[in-house]
Amino acid sequence: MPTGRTSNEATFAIEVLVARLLQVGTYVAMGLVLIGVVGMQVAGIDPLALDVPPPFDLKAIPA
Amino acid sequence: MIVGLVLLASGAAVGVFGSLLGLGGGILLVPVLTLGFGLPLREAVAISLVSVIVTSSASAGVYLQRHVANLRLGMVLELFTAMGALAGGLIAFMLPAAVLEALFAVLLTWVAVSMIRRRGASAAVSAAVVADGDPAHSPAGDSPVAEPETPARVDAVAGMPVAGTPGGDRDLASDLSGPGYHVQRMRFGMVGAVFAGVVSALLGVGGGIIKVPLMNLSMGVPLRVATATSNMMIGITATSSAVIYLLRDEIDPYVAGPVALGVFVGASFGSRVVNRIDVRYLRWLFVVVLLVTAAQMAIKALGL
Repeated sequence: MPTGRTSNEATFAIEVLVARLLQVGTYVAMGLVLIGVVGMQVAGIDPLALDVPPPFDLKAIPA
Repeated sequence: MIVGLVLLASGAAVGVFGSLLGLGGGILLVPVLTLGFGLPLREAVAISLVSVIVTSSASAGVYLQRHVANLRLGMVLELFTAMGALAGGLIAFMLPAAVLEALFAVLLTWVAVSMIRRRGASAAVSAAVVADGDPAHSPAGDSPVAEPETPARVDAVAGMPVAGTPGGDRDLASDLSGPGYHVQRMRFGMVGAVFAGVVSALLGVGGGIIKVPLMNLSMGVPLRVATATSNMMIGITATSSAVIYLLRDEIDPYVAGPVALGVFVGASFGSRVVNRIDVRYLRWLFVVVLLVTAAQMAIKALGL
């Protein structure tokens, strides 16, 4: 059985790990979105031009 | 081309003001997208949920790193909130848009009234929540109805949290308690969490407006912990309901991209300047804006 202190240390370590993953993930995701938005602007796409949003298709996402 | 930039700027404005006022991003974003850009309500709700995910992810990282959020409590409650969010996401497609608009008008009015009522406590609440220039202070999860911190139940003799609460959830509540406070009324919290999930999915808000008072006032969780835990939870809640919207092709990536990016940048900026700005007058201005927006939503819902 882990002691209370060990358990707390493990919990803290997990929290820090999750926090770092979240922060890195968020910044990476926002970076990708930024690239997409810049690409959209360069291509001259009007976001509101489409009456219906494009359908969600997993196959359309490059592997 | 200009439309994309306007969407980006709108998202940034929502992020800044939401961050300054401790308001939910969805509360501001949904009316902007529906009334300002003419998007259908469900599409606006879906895009708002994407923004909630972004801001929650950023702020949750900071709160977890500072060990402010109660991860265990958040994950247990999130099971129920996510169930509510899935149900809400399905219900949203069964209800007529006019009903959703009417519900949103009620929510806006409630938030405006709550902001008026808590004007005295706002500074303390903001300070407790925002801390020292939190770079990822989320506009999505803070509750405008949060009250001053409820004292935790502490055993006067041992100086330790009081063990257990009446009912079968005694052990679980003890396990989920944190330093200096004891979680109470877990069953009530679980039911409230389901309701928060439904509201979040229906209206595209983070649900912090329900979760923070639920944890703080009903479950005995200190306000700072409740706010941080709520901020962490709302991203998962929004993800649950966003999946429903995604599968039903309601998330427009061309709109969601610039808006989410704008909200992220705006919220980051707002959290850095919030301690340097006197938001009292801004708050009153926003109460007026919320009430006017509520009236516009109601008029739209009634087809007048």
